Amino acid sequence: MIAASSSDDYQYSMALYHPGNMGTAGDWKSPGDLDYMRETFKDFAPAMRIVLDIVDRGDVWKVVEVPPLPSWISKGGNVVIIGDAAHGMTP
Amino acid sequence: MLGRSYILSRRGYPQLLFEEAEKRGVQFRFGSPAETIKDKAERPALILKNGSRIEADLIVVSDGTYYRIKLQYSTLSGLE
Repeated sequence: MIAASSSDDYQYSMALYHPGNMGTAGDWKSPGDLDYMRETFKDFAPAMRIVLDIVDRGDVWKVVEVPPLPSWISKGGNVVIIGDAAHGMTP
Repeated sequence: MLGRSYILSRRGYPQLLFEEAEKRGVQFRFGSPAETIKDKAERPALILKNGSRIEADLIVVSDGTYYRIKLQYSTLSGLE
């Protein structure tokens, strides 16, 4: 679980990773199943469960793998690829 | 050891980097999407969608996973 408050402290967002294999790659806007979410995390700490109970909005995102590149340097040697473009990392 | 934690504004940090880079003479060009890269031994060239060609000593591709997925490896393996 990754959580952070917004810069104005008005919102608190949580990213909850789970093995449910839901969502569609590239789709960031579809609403998630909040009942499924609460059920998935029902064994977590009581404080967390209290917070999850009052969540009223959530999106479902699919976490996918980006295939590795054979090299990060071009054959000519003058083009390089760095950062997420070279090696996508889990959010 | 006592430490402090800081939260960087996700919107503010790139803005800060941009302003500091400009002060140091870095030139930026926005609204100019890239089409492909031609990789020749001495001078690689970036080809923009509008047809412009920018030659350089070094091209650094750092535009995240979105471009990678669109290009499907061609950035490096398909360079001419």
